[in-house]
Amino acid sequence: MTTMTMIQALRSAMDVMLERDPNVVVFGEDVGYFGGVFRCTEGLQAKYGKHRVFDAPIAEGGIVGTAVGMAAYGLKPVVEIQFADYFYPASDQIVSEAARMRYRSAGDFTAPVVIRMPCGGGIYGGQTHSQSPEALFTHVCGLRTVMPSNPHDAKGLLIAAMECGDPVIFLEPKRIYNGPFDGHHDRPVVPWSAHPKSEVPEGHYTVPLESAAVVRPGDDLTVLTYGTMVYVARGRRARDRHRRRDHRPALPVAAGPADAWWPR
Amino acid sequence: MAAALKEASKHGSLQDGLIPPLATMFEDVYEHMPPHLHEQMRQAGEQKAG
Repeated sequence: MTTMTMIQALRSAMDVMLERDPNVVVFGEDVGYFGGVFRCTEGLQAKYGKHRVFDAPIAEGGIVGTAVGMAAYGLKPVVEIQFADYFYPASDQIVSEAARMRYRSAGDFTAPVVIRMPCGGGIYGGQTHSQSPEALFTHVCGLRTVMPSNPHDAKGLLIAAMECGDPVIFLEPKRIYNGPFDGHHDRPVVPWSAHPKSEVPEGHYTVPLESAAVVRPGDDLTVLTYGTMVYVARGRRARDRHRRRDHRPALPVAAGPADAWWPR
Repeated sequence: MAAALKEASKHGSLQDGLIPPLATMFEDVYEHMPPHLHEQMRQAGEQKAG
Protein backbone atom coordinates (compact mmCIF):
# COMPACT_ATOMS: atom_id res chain seq x y z
CA MET A 1 0.00 0.00 0.00
CA THR A 2 1.07 3.53 -0.68
CA THR A 3 -0.62 6.91 -0.47
CA MET A 4 -1.76 8.27 -3.81
CA THR A 5 -3.78 11.16 -5.14
CA MET A 6 -6.47 10.28 -7.64
CA ILE A 7 -4.13 11.39 -10.43
CA GLN A 8 -1.40 9.05 -9.23
CA ALA A 9 -3.91 6.23 -8.78
CA LEU A 10 -5.22 6.60 -12.33
CA ARG A 11 -1.66 6.72 -13.68
CA SER A 12 -0.85 3.59 -11.69
CA ALA A 13 -3.86 1.80 -13.19
CA MET A 14 -2.69 2.55 -16.73
CA ASP A 15 0.88 1.66 -15.78
CA VAL A 16 -0.22 -1.72 -14.41
CA MET A 17 -2.28 -2.54 -17.48
CA LEU A 18 0.30 -1.33 -20.00
CA GLU A 19 2.73 -3.67 -18.25
CA ARG A 20 0.34 -6.64 -18.11
CA ASP A 21 -1.40 -6.44 -21.48
CA PRO A 22 0.54 -5.68 -24.68
CA ASN A 23 -2.75 -4.83 -26.41
CA VAL A 24 -3.32 -1.79 -24.19
CA VAL A 25 -2.63 1.55 -25.88
CA VAL A 26 -3.14 5.00 -24.38
CA PHE A 27 -3.66 8.09 -26.50
CA GLY A 28 -5.32 11.47 -26.68
CA GLU A 29 -4.53 15.15 -26.77
CA ASP A 30 -1.25 15.87 -24.93
CA VAL A 31 -1.19 12.52 -23.12
CA GLY A 32 2.13 11.41 -24.64
CA TYR A 33 5.12 13.74 -24.42
CA PHE A 34 3.43 16.17 -22.02
CA GLY A 35 1.78 13.52 -19.84
CA GLY A 36 -1.72 14.99 -19.89
CA VAL A 37 -2.94 18.37 -18.79
CA PHE A 38 -3.69 16.89 -15.36
CA ARG A 39 -0.53 14.70 -15.45
CA CYS A 40 -2.47 11.42 -15.39
CA THR A 41 -0.23 9.87 -18.05
CA GLU A 42 3.04 11.49 -16.97
CA GLY A 43 6.02 9.23 -17.66
CA LEU A 44 4.07 6.51 -19.44
CA GLN A 45 5.34 7.37 -22.92
CA ALA A 46 8.93 7.36 -21.69
CA LYS A 47 8.34 3.97 -20.08
CA TYR A 48 6.34 2.22 -22.80
CA GLY A 49 7.26 4.05 -25.98
CA LYS A 50 5.53 6.20 -28.56
CA HIS A 51 3.78 3.23 -30.16
CA ARG A 52 1.80 2.54 -26.96
CA VAL A 53 1.33 6.00 -25.43
CA PHE A 54 0.97 8.78 -27.95
CA ASP A 55 -0.51 12.16 -28.77
CA ALA A 56 -3.52 12.66 -31.00
CA PRO A 57 -4.69 15.64 -33.04
CA ILE A 58 -7.32 17.93 -31.56
CA ALA A 59 -10.16 15.90 -33.04
CA GLU A 60 -12.28 14.03 -30.52
CA GLY A 61 -14.32 12.27 -33.19
CA GLY A 62 -11.11 10.97 -34.71
CA ILE A 63 -9.72 9.90 -31.33
CA VAL A 64 -12.78 7.84 -30.42
CA GLY A 65 -13.30 6.58 -33.96
CA THR A 66 -9.72 5.36 -34.12
CA ALA A 67 -10.16 3.70 -30.74
CA VAL A 68 -13.32 1.94 -31.88
CA GLY A 69 -11.47 0.52 -34.89
CA MET A 70 -8.56 -0.55 -32.72
CA ALA A 71 -10.89 -2.25 -30.26
CA ALA A 72 -12.76 -4.09 -33.01
CA TYR A 73 -9.35 -5.30 -34.21
CA GLY A 74 -8.48 -6.64 -30.75
CA LEU A 75 -6.53 -3.86 -29.09
CA LYS A 76 -7.52 -2.30 -25.76
CA PRO A 77 -7.43 1.45 -26.31
CA VAL A 78 -7.69 3.88 -23.41
CA VAL A 79 -8.28 7.35 -24.76
CA GLU A 80 -8.49 10.66 -22.98
CA ILE A 81 -10.92 13.40 -23.87
CA GLN A 82 -9.02 16.32 -22.37
CA PHE A 83 -12.16 17.74 -20.72
CA ALA A 84 -15.57 16.07 -20.73
CA ASP A 85 -16.85 19.31 -22.22
CA TYR A 86 -15.06 18.34 -25.45
CA PHE A 87 -16.70 14.97 -26.04
CA TYR A 88 -19.58 16.30 -28.16
CA PRO A 89 -17.77 16.00 -31.51
CA ALA A 90 -17.23 12.32 -30.64
CA SER A 91 -20.89 11.70 -29.80
CA ASP A 92 -21.62 9.81 -33.00
CA GLN A 93 -18.60 7.55 -32.57
CA ILE A 94 -19.52 6.88 -28.94
CA VAL A 95 -23.25 6.30 -29.40
CA SER A 96 -23.58 4.98 -32.95
CA GLU A 97 -20.35 2.99 -33.15
CA ALA A 98 -18.86 2.04 -29.78
CA ALA A 99 -22.14 1.45 -27.96
CA ARG A 100 -23.81 -0.33 -30.89
CA MET A 101 -20.96 -2.47 -32.23
CA ARG A 102 -21.83 -5.64 -30.34
CA TYR A 103 -25.57 -5.46 -31.04
CA ARG A 104 -25.21 -4.44 -34.66
CA SER A 105 -22.94 -7.39 -35.40
CA ALA A 106 -24.85 -9.90 -33.21
CA GLY A 107 -21.76 -10.23 -31.07
CA ASP A 108 -19.27 -10.79 -33.90
CA PHE A 109 -17.50 -7.49 -33.19
CA THR A 110 -17.07 -5.52 -29.99
CA ALA A 111 -15.63 -2.16 -29.04
CA PRO A 112 -14.21 -2.43 -25.53
CA VAL A 113 -12.75 1.06 -25.41
CA VAL A 114 -12.21 3.11 -22.27
CA ILE A 115 -12.89 6.80 -22.74
CA ARG A 116 -11.48 8.83 -19.85
CA MET A 117 -12.78 12.34 -19.29
CA PRO A 118 -12.02 14.84 -16.52
CA CYS A 119 -15.38 16.31 -15.62
CA GLY A 120 -17.28 18.63 -13.32
CA GLY A 121 -16.71 22.06 -11.90
CA GLY A 122 -14.94 23.51 -8.95
CA ILE A 123 -11.67 24.57 -10.56
CA TYR A 124 -12.85 27.91 -11.97
CA GLY A 125 -12.69 26.45 -15.47
CA GLY A 126 -15.60 28.36 -16.91
CA GLN A 127 -18.23 27.04 -19.25
CA THR A 128 -16.00 24.85 -21.40
CA HIS A 129 -14.03 23.15 -18.62
CA SER A 130 -16.69 22.43 -16.00
CA GLN A 131 -19.46 20.34 -17.51
CA SER A 132 -20.96 17.17 -16.03
CA PRO A 133 -22.37 15.15 -18.95
CA GLU A 134 -22.62 11.79 -17.17
CA ALA A 135 -26.43 11.66 -17.37
CA LEU A 136 -26.23 11.66 -21.17
CA PHE A 137 -24.12 8.50 -21.20
CA THR A 138 -26.24 6.61 -18.68
CA HIS A 139 -29.14 6.74 -21.13
CA VAL A 140 -27.21 5.02 -23.91
CA CYS A 141 -27.62 1.26 -24.01
CA GLY A 142 -24.34 -0.48 -24.62
CA LEU A 143 -22.25 2.00 -22.64
CA ARG A 144 -21.10 1.64 -19.07
CA THR A 145 -20.66 4.87 -17.18
CA VAL A 146 -18.30 5.07 -14.23
CA MET A 147 -17.26 7.87 -11.90
CA PRO A 148 -14.94 7.22 -8.95
CA SER A 149 -14.87 9.29 -5.79
CA ASN A 150 -11.49 8.44 -4.27
CA PRO A 151 -8.03 7.22 -5.29
CA HIS A 152 -8.52 3.60 -4.20
CA ASP A 153 -11.71 3.17 -6.21
CA ALA A 154 -10.33 5.19 -9.13
CA LYS A 155 -7.50 2.75 -9.74
CA GLY A 156 -9.59 -0.38 -9.16
CA LEU A 157 -12.41 0.87 -11.36
CA LEU A 158 -10.12 1.97 -14.19
CA ILE A 159 -8.45 -1.44 -14.27
CA ALA A 160 -11.88 -3.09 -14.21
CA ALA A 161 -12.95 -0.81 -17.06
CA MET A 162 -9.88 -1.79 -19.08
CA GLU A 163 -10.64 -5.47 -18.53
CA CYS A 164 -14.35 -5.04 -19.34
CA GLY A 165 -15.71 -6.27 -22.65
CA ASP A 166 -17.99 -3.26 -23.03
CA PRO A 167 -17.19 0.36 -23.89
CA VAL A 168 -16.75 2.34 -20.70
CA ILE A 169 -17.12 6.07 -20.18
CA PHE A 170 -14.78 6.82 -17.29
CA LEU A 171 -15.49 10.22 -15.79
CA GLU A 172 -12.94 11.74 -13.43
CA PRO A 173 -14.17 14.56 -11.14
CA LYS A 174 -11.31 16.98 -11.53
CA ARG A 175 -12.17 18.87 -8.35
CA ILE A 176 -11.13 15.85 -6.30
CA TYR A 177 -8.05 14.87 -8.32
CA ASN A 178 -5.88 16.18 -5.49
CA GLY A 179 -8.13 15.90 -2.46
CA PRO A 180 -11.73 15.58 -1.27
CA PHE A 181 -13.90 18.68 -1.41
CA ASP A 182 -16.77 19.42 0.97
CA GLY A 183 -18.25 22.29 -1.01
CA HIS A 184 -16.50 25.16 0.74
CA HIS A 185 -14.28 27.02 -1.71
CA ASP A 186 -13.06 29.34 1.03
CA ARG A 187 -11.46 26.60 3.11
CA PRO A 188 -7.95 25.20 2.66
CA VAL A 189 -7.56 22.26 0.29
CA VAL A 190 -7.49 18.94 2.12
CA PRO A 191 -4.95 16.58 0.55
CA TRP A 192 -5.74 12.95 -0.21
CA SER A 193 -2.89 11.92 2.08
CA ALA A 194 -5.16 12.78 5.03
CA HIS A 195 -7.93 10.46 3.76
CA PRO A 196 -7.99 6.67 4.30
CA LYS A 197 -9.11 6.05 0.70
CA SER A 198 -5.75 7.37 -0.50
CA GLU A 199 -4.22 4.05 0.56
CA VAL A 200 -3.82 2.32 -2.79
CA PRO A 201 -2.24 -1.07 -3.60
CA GLU A 202 0.65 -0.64 -6.03
CA GLY A 203 -0.21 -3.68 -8.16
CA HIS A 204 -3.25 -5.05 -9.93
CA TYR A 205 -6.69 -5.08 -8.31
CA THR A 206 -10.20 -4.26 -9.42
CA VAL A 207 -13.30 -2.63 -7.97
CA PRO A 208 -16.49 -4.06 -9.52
CA LEU A 209 -18.14 -1.67 -11.96
CA GLU A 210 -21.63 -2.61 -10.74
CA SER A 211 -21.05 -1.61 -7.15
CA ALA A 212 -21.84 1.08 -4.67
CA ALA A 213 -20.82 1.57 -1.07
CA VAL A 214 -22.62 2.78 2.00
CA VAL A 215 -20.56 5.53 3.58
CA ARG A 216 -22.71 5.98 6.65
CA PRO A 217 -25.65 3.71 7.48
CA GLY A 218 -28.97 4.99 8.80
CA ASP A 219 -32.70 4.34 8.71
CA ASP A 220 -34.59 7.43 7.57
CA LEU A 221 -33.10 8.72 4.36
CA THR A 222 -30.79 7.59 1.57
CA VAL A 223 -28.65 10.14 -0.23
CA LEU A 224 -27.46 8.53 -3.45
CA THR A 225 -24.58 10.33 -5.06
CA TYR A 226 -21.17 9.93 -6.71
CA GLY A 227 -17.93 11.70 -7.46
CA THR A 228 -17.28 15.06 -5.82
CA MET A 229 -20.78 15.23 -4.36
CA VAL A 230 -20.02 12.33 -2.01
CA TYR A 231 -17.93 14.72 0.06
CA VAL A 232 -20.31 17.63 -0.33
CA ALA A 233 -23.16 15.38 0.87
CA ARG A 234 -21.10 14.20 3.81
CA GLY A 235 -20.20 17.76 4.71
CA ARG A 236 -23.84 18.76 4.53
CA ARG A 237 -24.82 15.77 6.59
CA ALA A 238 -22.34 16.78 9.30
CA ARG A 239 -23.87 20.24 9.47
CA ASP A 240 -27.41 18.86 9.63
CA ARG A 241 -26.68 16.18 12.16
CA HIS A 242 -27.97 18.22 15.06
CA ARG A 243 -31.30 18.75 13.28
CA ARG A 244 -31.96 15.42 11.58
CA ARG A 245 -30.62 12.08 12.65
CA ASP A 246 -29.73 9.01 10.64
CA HIS A 247 -29.12 10.43 7.19
CA ARG A 248 -27.67 7.73 5.05
CA PRO A 249 -25.29 9.07 2.45
CA ALA A 250 -24.35 6.28 0.10
CA LEU A 251 -21.19 6.26 -1.96
CA PRO A 252 -21.80 4.81 -5.37
CA VAL A 253 -18.70 4.26 -7.43
CA ALA A 254 -20.51 3.79 -10.73
CA ALA A 255 -23.20 5.92 -12.28
CA GLY A 256 -25.77 4.21 -14.47
CA PRO A 257 -29.37 3.13 -14.74
CA ALA A 258 -30.33 3.28 -11.10
CA ASP A 259 -32.13 -0.02 -10.94
CA ALA A 260 -29.22 -1.88 -12.43
CA TRP A 261 -26.04 -0.30 -11.26
CA TRP A 262 -26.82 0.99 -7.79
CA PRO A 263 -27.82 -2.28 -6.19
CA ARG A 264 -27.77 -1.30 -2.54
CA MET B 1 -38.91 -2.52 -59.46
CA ALA B 2 -41.60 -5.14 -58.91
CA ALA B 3 -39.16 -7.78 -60.06
CA ALA B 4 -36.54 -6.52 -57.66
CA LEU B 5 -39.05 -6.64 -54.80
CA LYS B 6 -40.01 -10.17 -55.75
CA GLU B 7 -36.40 -11.21 -55.83
CA ALA B 8 -35.70 -9.59 -52.46
CA SER B 9 -38.75 -11.20 -50.90
CA LYS B 10 -37.40 -14.63 -51.80
CA HIS B 11 -34.79 -14.06 -49.08
CA GLY B 12 -37.50 -13.56 -46.48
CA SER B 13 -39.79 -10.84 -45.18
CA LEU B 14 -41.76 -10.03 -42.06
CA GLN B 15 -44.78 -11.62 -43.73
CA ASP B 16 -43.08 -15.02 -43.49
CA GLY B 17 -43.65 -15.03 -39.76
CA LEU B 18 -39.91 -15.46 -39.24
CA ILE B 19 -39.75 -12.77 -36.61
CA PRO B 20 -36.68 -13.06 -34.38
CA PRO B 21 -37.34 -14.06 -30.78
CA LEU B 22 -38.10 -11.19 -28.43
CA ALA B 23 -34.96 -11.92 -26.43
CA THR B 24 -32.74 -10.89 -29.35
CA MET B 25 -33.79 -7.31 -28.69
CA PHE B 26 -31.95 -7.48 -25.37
CA GLU B 27 -29.04 -9.78 -26.19
CA ASP B 28 -25.64 -8.56 -27.44
CA VAL B 29 -26.12 -5.11 -25.95
CA TYR B 30 -23.57 -5.82 -23.22
CA GLU B 31 -21.09 -8.64 -22.78
CA HIS B 32 -23.23 -9.84 -19.87
CA MET B 33 -26.89 -8.81 -19.71
CA PRO B 34 -27.25 -6.37 -16.81
CA PRO B 35 -30.14 -6.65 -14.34
CA HIS B 36 -32.12 -3.76 -15.79
CA LEU B 37 -32.21 -5.37 -19.24
CA HIS B 38 -33.18 -8.70 -17.67
CA GLU B 39 -36.10 -6.93 -16.03
CA GLN B 40 -37.11 -5.14 -19.23
CA MET B 41 -36.95 -8.45 -21.13
CA ARG B 42 -39.14 -10.07 -18.49
CA GLN B 43 -41.69 -7.26 -18.70
CA ALA B 44 -41.70 -7.40 -22.50
CA GLY B 45 -42.31 -11.14 -22.33
CA GLU B 46 -45.25 -10.60 -20.01
CA GLN B 47 -46.72 -7.97 -22.32
CA LYS B 48 -46.34 -10.26 -25.30
CA ALA B 49 -47.96 -13.14 -23.46
CA GLY B 50 -50.81 -10.82 -22.79
